[in-house]
Amino acid sequence: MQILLSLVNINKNYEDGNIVVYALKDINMEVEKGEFTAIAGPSGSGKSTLLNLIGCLDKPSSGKVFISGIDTSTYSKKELANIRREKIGFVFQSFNLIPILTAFENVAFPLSLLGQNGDSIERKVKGILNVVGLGGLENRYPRELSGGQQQRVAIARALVKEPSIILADEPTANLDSATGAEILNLMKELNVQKEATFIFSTHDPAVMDRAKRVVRLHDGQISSDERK
Amino acid sequence: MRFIIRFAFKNIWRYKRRTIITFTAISIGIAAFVVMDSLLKGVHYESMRNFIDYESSHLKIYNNEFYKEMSDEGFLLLDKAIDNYESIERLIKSDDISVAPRINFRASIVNENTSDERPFTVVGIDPDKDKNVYKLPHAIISGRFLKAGERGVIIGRMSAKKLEAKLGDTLTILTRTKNDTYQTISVDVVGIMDPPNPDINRTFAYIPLDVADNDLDMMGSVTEIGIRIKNGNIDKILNRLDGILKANNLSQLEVISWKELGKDWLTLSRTKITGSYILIFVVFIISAVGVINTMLMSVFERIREIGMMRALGMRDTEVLWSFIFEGAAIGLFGALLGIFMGFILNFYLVYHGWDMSHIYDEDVDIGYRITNIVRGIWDIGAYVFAFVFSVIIPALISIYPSRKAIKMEITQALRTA
Repeated sequence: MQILLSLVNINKNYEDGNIVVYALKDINMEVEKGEFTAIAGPSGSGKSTLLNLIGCLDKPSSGKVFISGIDTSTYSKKELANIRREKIGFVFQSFNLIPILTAFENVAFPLSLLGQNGDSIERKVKGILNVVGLGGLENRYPRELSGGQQQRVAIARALVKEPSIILADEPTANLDSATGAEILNLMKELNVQKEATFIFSTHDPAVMDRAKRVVRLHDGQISSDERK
Repeated sequence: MRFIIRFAFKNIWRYKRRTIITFTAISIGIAAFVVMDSLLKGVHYESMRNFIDYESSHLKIYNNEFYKEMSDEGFLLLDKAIDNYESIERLIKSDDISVAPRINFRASIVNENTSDERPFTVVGIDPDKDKNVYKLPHAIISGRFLKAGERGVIIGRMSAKKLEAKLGDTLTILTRTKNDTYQTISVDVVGIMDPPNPDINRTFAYIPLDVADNDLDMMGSVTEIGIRIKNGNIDKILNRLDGILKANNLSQLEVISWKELGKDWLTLSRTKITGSYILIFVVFIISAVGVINTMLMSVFERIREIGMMRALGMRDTEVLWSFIFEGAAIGLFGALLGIFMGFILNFYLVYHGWDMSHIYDEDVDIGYRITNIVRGIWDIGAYVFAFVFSVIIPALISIYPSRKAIKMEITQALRTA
């Protein structure tokens, strides 16, 4: 299988005055194309820090992050922005849609950043909105959508540019359990249909049960890595 | 970049009320600037025109002793006049100038019918030559202009009102001759004028030059020679005339430009313009503070959203540009509205004017050579300046908060509530 992501001896420390906080210690991990991976662990275990490093939002204190074989740990801010723009999709816990843009425009946002033309954007956005079950709601603003619908828009926004990896930071945490399950089903469907590679953080056992692979973190270290 | 511009324009309507308040502040600032600029420059240029047309002409030749006493003490000394002015007129004659001699003297004028007496500056003029240099005939509102040799006088509408004089009334001019003997000159009012120069309207009376020459024992001398330049540069002609006078051993005579003659009110006018610009600058600053406030709030309320956009791959320069365009767009709408409001107000000022006759008719002197209606001018430069200024400043102001936002780590921005 094709290895999309490779983390080699990753450490991440934060300095707070004289105190050094070791957020991640000696992380080594590989993710293959099409995996549906949960990063699990209690609060403060380093899940979000790990997702930030994978998503090129932060740099490791030591070690290397390879995305599609490219070592991103030496990249400049602009190069990291380009990697995020082209290869990574994000789904946030609190949806983070742009309130002044419609569902269509929110989903179109990453394609506009890539400089794609209007026809291509329209085709792709309408297509993905249908896939996530929001066909016909293109012109609604986020405030006119339910929490579950907003997260569907966020997932569509992450998927529309067909990135190598989709990172989701506790994507169901702000949703009721039924809606959370729907969102998880949707992610799983997309994982199967489109072979989209999902890496998501969670501390919800119900969510972990749905993952093909669960990487557990404890105090910044991988305590277990199970494939189902 | 087109996407970023579209995004910026959408963003200005995110907080409609705040945006409307901000660009209203900008538009009021711009309208105030445009109107004030138009009015001040309009008044200034009209004052200049009226000063030249009715008082100073472009250049004047004086006996330097007469000029010194006049400018230092306000005295008009007839014994320090220009002798044999006709020979001087011949010396300086050329196609690019018109020349008019005058005899200026202080006097009291009494209306025989009412016994009202008021101080005046009386001017003896050559009716034929004078109209080539000054515009008194244009200002006649009743009666007619003077004729050479007649014992007639023309006075301003305001002075006629004070003297309760009307056409045909006999006025007595009380003065002293060149030899310092008392003299009375009886003249009939042949014309009443309403010149747009309050000094001339209130305190000047005009009689024929030959009458003044005869009754004041001037023996062919005049107190000044006014010169209107038909074409050419004032300073060059001044130097030329100065050279002619010096070459003919007439160094007791000097050529003075209208700028020198009007330096008191010109300084006053410039000071008023500067003062008004300071006021306008304050209005601009208030507008700028409004924009700063709007942009600061706009950026700091969207820190998390900026973090999200950067996470999705928006480059820092693109974030920066989106806020620069947003600031510029607020400025642009404010500028367009301000220029429209300023245009409407200015249209009224240029074509209708602002009636200030109630001020001038009450003997109030505000230093300008204008009466009745103050008019604005079209100053395209002011519109361009206001437009550019109000688009560029908000754009520049936007840089500071957006730079702060993009310096923040994305992970930190995403954690912001």
